[in-house]
Amino acid sequence: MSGTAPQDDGQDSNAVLAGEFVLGLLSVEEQARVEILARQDKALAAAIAQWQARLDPLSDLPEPMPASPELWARIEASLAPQAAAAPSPARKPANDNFWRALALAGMAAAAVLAAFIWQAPPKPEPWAQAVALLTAPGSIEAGLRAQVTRGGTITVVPLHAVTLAQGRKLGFWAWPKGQPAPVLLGMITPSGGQLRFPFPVQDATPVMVTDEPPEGPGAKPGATLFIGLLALTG
Amino acid sequence: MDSSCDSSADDLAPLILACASGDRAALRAIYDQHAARLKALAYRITGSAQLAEDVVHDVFIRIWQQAASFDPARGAGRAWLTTITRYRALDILRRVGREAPAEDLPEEADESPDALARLMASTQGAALHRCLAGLDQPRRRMITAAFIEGKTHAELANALNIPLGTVKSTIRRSLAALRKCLGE
Repeated sequence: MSGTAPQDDGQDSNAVLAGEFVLGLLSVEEQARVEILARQDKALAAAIAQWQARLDPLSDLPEPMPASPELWARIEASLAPQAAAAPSPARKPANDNFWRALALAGMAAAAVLAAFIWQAPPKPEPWAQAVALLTAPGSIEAGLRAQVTRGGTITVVPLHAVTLAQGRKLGFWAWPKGQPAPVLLGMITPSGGQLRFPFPVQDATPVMVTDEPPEGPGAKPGATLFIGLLALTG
Repeated sequence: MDSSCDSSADDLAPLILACASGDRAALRAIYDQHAARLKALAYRITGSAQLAEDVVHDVFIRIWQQAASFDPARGAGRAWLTTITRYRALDILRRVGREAPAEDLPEEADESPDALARLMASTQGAALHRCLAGLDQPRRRMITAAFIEGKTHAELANALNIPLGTVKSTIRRSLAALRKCLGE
């Protein structure tokens, strides 16, 4: 804009990016990048919130559509603890094809996953350095919560009952930037566990949980049950 | 009828807070007030009434799960609901592929007296209406089509038969004009 003072340039460029982001005009990759940026850049996050507020009234233009009577019942059923996010056997697991696809996509894994994982970073405990909510691929209900402490420990807590076949265990993996593939941090049971997190904690590090035999994964990781992104706190 | 309200009296914030404490009646209250508006928005984006209901279902589960992280200082609850709904609708649209709208909705529907009455019912809506009126009709249409229908730059360029670069720069200028008009 002509006549803009130099110190407004950052604001203006944030406003442009935020406006296009809120209008949904960015590509999937750009959108994922902005989502990650906004977690660290308070000014950008504020610009996004401002556009969301400015444009929200447009949602009043379409004539309201009454929901079917069954919809609330569906919602209630999904809220009930019995309808937990333990993946049904019929669900096609995202296994090593998923990881291969990620590597071939040539994009930062975090950027792809940010678009793929539909979640916002959760509220961390004060002692946490990073926290993640892990969901079943394609699901919106969180199955597990993972927190990395400053001492380099990662604590995994199930949010709903996680059911596995008899004798099976969960493999917990992280994929820090610079690693060619996800790294197995260790094995935990469906009631959760604590593992060493021997990497520098970086924002948007993918973490995932796989279905494994009790002795650990074979040549390839087992079916991916849950996946999430570590979000740095503070 | 959706009780549009001023941001200075966000009656959604206490309800969202109550959801964070596990109060199902609060979620039901939000549903009663907003489900129809959100379903209409999801329908405009996905083009399918069934998908629109799926979106609303997912949105209310997400409200329930994320209620504790809703920060009233960052904006009104209504905008939060709208944002979640648009994101989810666009996300589902990408996964299933765009479906043709059930009926070809004329653009004029969004400028009908009823539509404008709904828009003007809130202070923010009246301000937005005033500032949108400062744009010519094609520019206004681009903004509303992008927001309400989830149209991409390419789809707008195709529909209006103008180059992609022109659509991008026109929208940027329109956003800058809206921002200036709406002030802080």
